[in-house]
Amino acid sequence: MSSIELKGRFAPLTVIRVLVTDLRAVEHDLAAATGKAPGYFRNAPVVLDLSPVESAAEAVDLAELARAVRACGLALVGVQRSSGLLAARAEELGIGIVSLEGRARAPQLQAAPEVLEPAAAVATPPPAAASPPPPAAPPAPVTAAEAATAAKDAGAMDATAKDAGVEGHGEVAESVIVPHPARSGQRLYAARGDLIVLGAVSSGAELIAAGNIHVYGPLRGRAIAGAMGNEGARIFCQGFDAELISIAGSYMLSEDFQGEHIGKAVQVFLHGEKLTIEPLSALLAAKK
Amino acid sequence: MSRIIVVTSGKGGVGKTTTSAAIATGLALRGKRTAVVDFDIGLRNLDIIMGCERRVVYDFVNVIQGEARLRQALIKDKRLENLSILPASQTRDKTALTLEGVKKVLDELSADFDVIVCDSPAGIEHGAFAAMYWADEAIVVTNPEVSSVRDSDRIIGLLASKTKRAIDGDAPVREHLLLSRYDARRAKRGEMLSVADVLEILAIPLLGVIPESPAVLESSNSGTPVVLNGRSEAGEAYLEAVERLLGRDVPHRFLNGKPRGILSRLFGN
Ligand SMILES: Nc1ncnc2c1ncn2[C@@H]1O[C@H](COP(=O)(O)OP(=O)(O)OP(=O)(O)O)[C@@H](O)[C@H]1O
Ligand SMILES: [Mg+2]
Repeated sequence: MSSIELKGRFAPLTVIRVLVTDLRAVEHDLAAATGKAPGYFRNAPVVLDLSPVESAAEAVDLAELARAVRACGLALVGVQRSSGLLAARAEELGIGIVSLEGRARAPQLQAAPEVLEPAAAVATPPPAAASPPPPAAPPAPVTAAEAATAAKDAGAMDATAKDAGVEGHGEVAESVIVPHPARSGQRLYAARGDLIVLGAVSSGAELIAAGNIHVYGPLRGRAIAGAMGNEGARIFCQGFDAELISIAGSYMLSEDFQGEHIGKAVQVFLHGEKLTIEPLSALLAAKK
Repeated sequence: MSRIIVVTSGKGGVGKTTTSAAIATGLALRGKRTAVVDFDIGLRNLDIIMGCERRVVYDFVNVIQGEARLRQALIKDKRLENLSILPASQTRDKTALTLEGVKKVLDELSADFDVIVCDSPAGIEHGAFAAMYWADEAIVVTNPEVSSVRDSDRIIGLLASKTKRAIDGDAPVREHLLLSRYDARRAKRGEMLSVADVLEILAIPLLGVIPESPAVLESSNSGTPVVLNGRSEAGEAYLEAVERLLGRDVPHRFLNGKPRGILSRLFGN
């Protein structure tokens, strides 16, 4: 039997797009960007996208850049595939070269100038030029312990959430049942499985799950399913009136929804690249 | 043990202090030994609404910091014998309200009072947190507008997670919704949220609906809690809410505007 196993699944990565060659500026902006959500970025796997400075490749000190990234507590996985000098330099330094092509919704963290865009594949919608600003803060993913603490902060602590706090790598998805409504300002996580809310989700509340989200009540807040990139994740609710829905990084804001679904029991899933909202009653109709 | 009731809202200016004064006075009228405590350190105005601002010598912070005895700081109401006010400090910083300090004062009040009404400052910061932390019950004051409802929703979430009862896993803080500054006609025209709209979102039991009323401003200017000030609609609505707090199941008369009194019934308008 082999001592290792190779898995094809692409882990969620944060891409740091470097826009200038000035190392000081990049260092400064990186520290500022990661300082806003230190827990979220601790040991977060990142990839450097150097394509904006490709033309000035000689001016880029990749070794120093890598040091700066690591100094912010980030885990540098590699640089995005680029041609020529920088790729060669990365190889010399033992830094991986990663191809992110085809990841249409690749998350980006721009290191300079300022803008912080949290990792889209992890949870938040991608920055889109003409669209309204995505959710303010990056939903911290990822260790179950963190998730449990976050759930506690938000008042979601219950036996099930506690269980999710046990570090475990079993195959069984660990679902979190929230036995009360989710109120404005609360952020509830299920870091490894489904998130099930027994009650209303108020506008201003945020649900984040690696798996599916089930709401037994009206959904008026935000629901982010498939937060670790699971494109098969779905959102179910009894009364649809969400502020934002997202699955595996694709998202829609309330102004994008069709009025016909408002107030209905619906499911939301990814159909190719497109988020699809479908009344649950359609399931019954289809069976006939 | 006395009942500790926090009057809170998240949003500012929705009527917390008006409500604290009216409910505390109403409870005292109904024979409960009642203390009303101002947690709005630095912006005290409960004493003004209660009409005792000139009698403030020591305050809540003095007591917490051991500079005065509780007995010296408590102001006995001149109208109702079983009503007392613990004023806030106008000069201190709200961090002076330590949770342990607050607890000590509440424990001491518990010995002499049936009900302790805590007038919370606006916001969800330290002062509001200190006011809700030890509460058994909460009156969530909401105005019929979206921003106020959203803030109340937030506060209800905090009551269920950040209070002593929530942290210890005891019976949760009992929540009461008080919808204030309500204008049934404007709600009917869709200019403000209706009672049903607010109840649907907040989903906690309705303690009362207080109509928008000029009597409230008159009362606070004259330092007379609105329940003592003649027979205003707002005063009556608050007295009804007091009955419900005391466990009596009285019908809501202010849901649809002016309750029809005997005169309007006679003259049929
Ligand atoms: N039912 C009502 N009808 C008319 N005016 C009202 C009513 N209730 C309160 N007000 C007015 O609203 C204003 C704010 O009231 P109040 O001071 O009680 O609010 P608050 O929530 O304590 O404010 P803060 O957050 O600043 O402590 C006052 O001017 C008061 O007279
Ligand atoms: Mg006030």
